[in-house]
Parts: sequence; structure tokens; C-alpha cells
Amino acid sequence: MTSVPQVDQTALKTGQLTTILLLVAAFVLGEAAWPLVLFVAVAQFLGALAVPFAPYRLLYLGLRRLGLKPNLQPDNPEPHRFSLLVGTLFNGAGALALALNAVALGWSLVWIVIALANLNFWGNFCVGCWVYYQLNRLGVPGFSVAPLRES
Amino acid sequence: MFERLLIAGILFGVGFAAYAWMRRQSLRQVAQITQRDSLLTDTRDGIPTVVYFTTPTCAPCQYAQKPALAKLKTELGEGIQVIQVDATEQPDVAERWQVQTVPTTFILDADGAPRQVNYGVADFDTLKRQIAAL
Repeated sequence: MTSVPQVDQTALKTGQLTTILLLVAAFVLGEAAWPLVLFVAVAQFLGALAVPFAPYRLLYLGLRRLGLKPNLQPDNPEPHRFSLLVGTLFNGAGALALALNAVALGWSLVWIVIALANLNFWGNFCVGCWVYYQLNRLGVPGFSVAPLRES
Repeated sequence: MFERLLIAGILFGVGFAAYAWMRRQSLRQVAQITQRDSLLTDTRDGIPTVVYFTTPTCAPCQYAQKPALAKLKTELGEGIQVIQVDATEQPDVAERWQVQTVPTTFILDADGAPRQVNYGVADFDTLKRQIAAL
């Protein structure tokens, strides 16, 4: 019998909300805050790699100690990690653009991430996951995990 | 800094306004078809209806929306009817109902008029509140 993979939805929501808050804070603080955008990119990258010292993970564990309850649900973790990688690319490029004074491009990339994170946080629609499953359907190497079937 | 705070607020406001407008447009368009839609031919009159769009591969449908609807059905019993539509099996219905993502739930009042639409998971409390407000 194969076990059904699970994903902690509370951890995902924590990461999404943190991303939104940090990126909006960076925008409010101005172009000089590009390292904050870079920090989000790095945090997302470490989250995608699922390393134990990933900042979002550490934050979540801290919040768990304060009483935040996990919500494990049947789901594939891979599409969510891919989603974080996409966020990393956008935020990384955004931070670079801001550092190079390409302000409009930089904030555009950042606001795309803010919009997508909001869509995921409020609407439960993970665009990165959707892209992952489309690539899986097309048989693209590396996107080997198919969606869970409803039982 | 204040200017940027204002811009961020405006962008969020525009985002939520666009979302609200999309919901209203969707309800308006669906209202035009519900009186004669084949999907609703077997529904009982005088009872609110939840039309629930899902797909077999929708994880949030499986872990969140379906249990919320089951709980609603348990609590309200004959006071509610739920119609489940697999958007992959009935893409024409999903298109007619303007469904862009799953799960999507429409709340229809006792006369069959759409009153609410939820894109993404609508939890038990939300559904119950929406039905109570009919």
C-alpha cells in the first residue's frame, strides 16, 4: 500500500502571508529595500529545497510554538516547491532589477508575486502548481508527479 | 513612504474591487441561464441549492470543499441540495457557468436565483452564513 503524500496547508499559508507582507513592506520602503526582496527570494529558494533552516520553516515552527495549528491534507509537495522556485525567479530578478535601478521592471516583478501570493492565500489557487501539473501532463522531464485523484 | 503606502493600498483595493466585480458579473451571467439550465432540472423547488464544481485532480476539493459540503448537508439535511459537477466530464456546463477554477461553489436561493459565488474553497461557516442570509 502506498501512502498518500500530505502537505501542511497552515505552513503554506504562513509562507504566502509572509511573502505578501515582506514584499509590500519592501515596496513601501522604496528601492533601497531591494535586499528585502532578495531575502524573500532566498527564503523561497530554501523553502523550495525544503532545507531545515529555511526562514519560512523556522518562522512557522516558531508560530507553532505560539499555538498555530498544522493542517495536514492530502496533496503533493512538489508543485508547491516548484511554485516557490517560480517566486524565487521573479523576486530574484526583481531584486536585481531594483539594485540596477530598473525600478519599473523590478516592482512589476515583485507585484506579480504579491498578486499570485494573494490569489493563493485568499483563493486557494496556486498558479505555480497549475503550471507544474500542465508540464506533467505534457510529459516534461522533471515534472513527474501527477495530481492526486479524488477517491 | 506615505505615497508608496497609498499606492500599495490602492493596488490592493483595485485587486479586491476587480475580484468583487468579477463575482458580480459571474452571478449576473449565471442568473440568465439558471431558470432554464439542464443542470437544475432535477432540483426541488423551494430549497436552496449549492452547485459545486470540482475535478478529480483538485486536491483542495478533496480535502476541504467536499468535507465542508458534507458537513453542511448533515447539518441542514433536506433544507439544502447539493449538485456536484465534474468540470472535466462536463466542460460545457463549466463554461456556461463561467467557472475558471475549482473548487467553485454557487449558492442559489429557493427560487433558483444565484446569490453567491465562491472561487476557491468556501469553508463550512462561510457556506452556512451564505445560506442563512438567503
